[in-house]
Amino acid sequence: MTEINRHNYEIFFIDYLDGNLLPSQEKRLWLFLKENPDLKDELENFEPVEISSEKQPFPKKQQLKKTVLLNHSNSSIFDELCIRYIEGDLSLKEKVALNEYMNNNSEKSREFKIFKQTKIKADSSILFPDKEKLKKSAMFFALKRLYPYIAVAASILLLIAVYFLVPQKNNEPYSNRIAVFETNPAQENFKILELTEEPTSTNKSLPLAETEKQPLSIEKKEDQSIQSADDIDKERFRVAAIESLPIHPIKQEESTLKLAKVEPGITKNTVDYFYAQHNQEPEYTNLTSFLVESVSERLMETPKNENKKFELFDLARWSVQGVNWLTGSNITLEKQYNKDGETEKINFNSKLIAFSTPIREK
Amino acid sequence: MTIEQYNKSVDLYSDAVYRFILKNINQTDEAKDIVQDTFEKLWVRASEVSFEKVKSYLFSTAYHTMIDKIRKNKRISSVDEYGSIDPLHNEHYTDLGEILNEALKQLPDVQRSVILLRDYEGYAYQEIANITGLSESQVKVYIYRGRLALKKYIGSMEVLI
Repeated sequence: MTEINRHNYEIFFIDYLDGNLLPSQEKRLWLFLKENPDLKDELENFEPVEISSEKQPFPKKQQLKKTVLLNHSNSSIFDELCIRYIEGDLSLKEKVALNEYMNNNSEKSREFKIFKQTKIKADSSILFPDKEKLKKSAMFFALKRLYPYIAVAASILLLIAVYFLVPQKNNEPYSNRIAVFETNPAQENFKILELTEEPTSTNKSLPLAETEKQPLSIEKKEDQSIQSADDIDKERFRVAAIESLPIHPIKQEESTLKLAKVEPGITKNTVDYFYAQHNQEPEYTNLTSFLVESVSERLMETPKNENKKFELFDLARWSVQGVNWLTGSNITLEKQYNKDGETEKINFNSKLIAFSTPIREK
Repeated sequence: MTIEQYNKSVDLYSDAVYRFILKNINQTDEAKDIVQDTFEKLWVRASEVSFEKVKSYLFSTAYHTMIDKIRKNKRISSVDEYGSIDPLHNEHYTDLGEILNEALKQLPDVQRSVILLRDYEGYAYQEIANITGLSESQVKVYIYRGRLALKKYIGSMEVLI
């Protein structure tokens, strides 16, 4: 606190009378009063004034009170109370207040009735018609519990089958050979001109001229030309080359020359080729070919006449897809290719087991 | 859940789920598909869902399947859309049930769903919140807005009738 003087002595006086001065401040006050005796009289004559509070009640207190805040000007509160009434959220007091309010207001009473109509009742005539289709039999339930185990076991068996039975590279006598046919659209016949090696990984770099010179093992056959597709069918599409025929170098510009790959064992490509030349639908040489084509078309969505060679790997993939469909699992079986586009590995992945196996090469 | 409990669930709740979905989308075939999908999902997870909670699971799964389908069909309306419905297009209705159905159709999807769950199944706010993935407060707000819109619609139609 600042020093006491004639401009601020009132503050010291009040604090003194309230008993709020420190002893040191009180000492200074008395020194000041000694120097200013006129002010000492003022302090002595000062009498504190006490004002007692009057207990006068406010006469219209009850009129200010509100029970549920309902009045004519506040319709949103009425709406809220109506909705809460429908929802069963109103307290007893609020319900009473709402009823009293509506008794005195016919318009709000009508609105309340409309609110009550917004409560929707379920239409019991609507029934689900296919209830029986949803139900499951006990046997299916038992089988379902075994699905994961069945799936894994089946997949492993299939993989083992794939590992041992997938056709290996270069193990078939005609796999890399090309048969060259000369066709004559007018006569609808053809003859085999040449059977040559298809460039493989070992001779890919050979120039065409050198490739042409390479001697081939040619099986001799008396009938040098095949007159129709029926003849080919009879021969089981075994490529016959006639030794006595001169071997001509192939010219790419010759429009009459056609190339077709001779497949080992499965000769559908050749069949398709010939039938395609005659604008006919392919016929299947046996039941296996038919099944392979049909399954390939329907399950694997392979376009017809795509000439995709069927492998046991395809069978394995269909089986895995079937297992996935039955069990809802996500087992995968995929081929992994190297940079030359050749199959390098087969990868298998399921919840319980995952492995990768390389393809054997001879 | 055992197979007996699953089949009992079909008997007990398939009608209710079907009604709920049908009232929401008004397409019989799609409603059937959703109910079938819902029970297939239940079947796949039968070992995880207890019989006591199967009803909530079914309604929740059906609701979300329906929302996915609606979104795919690009028919969903904004969840914040206020239920402003125009009764003047439906002057030919004379029955209160028809009026209410028509009003219900015109509500925003989320408001319609919460009101149906509340009125058809008598679910509490928190249960509706669990089924729809909304908060309890949001459920209350949507029920309030939906009822207010229905009341306005019915009131307008009463004047017209």
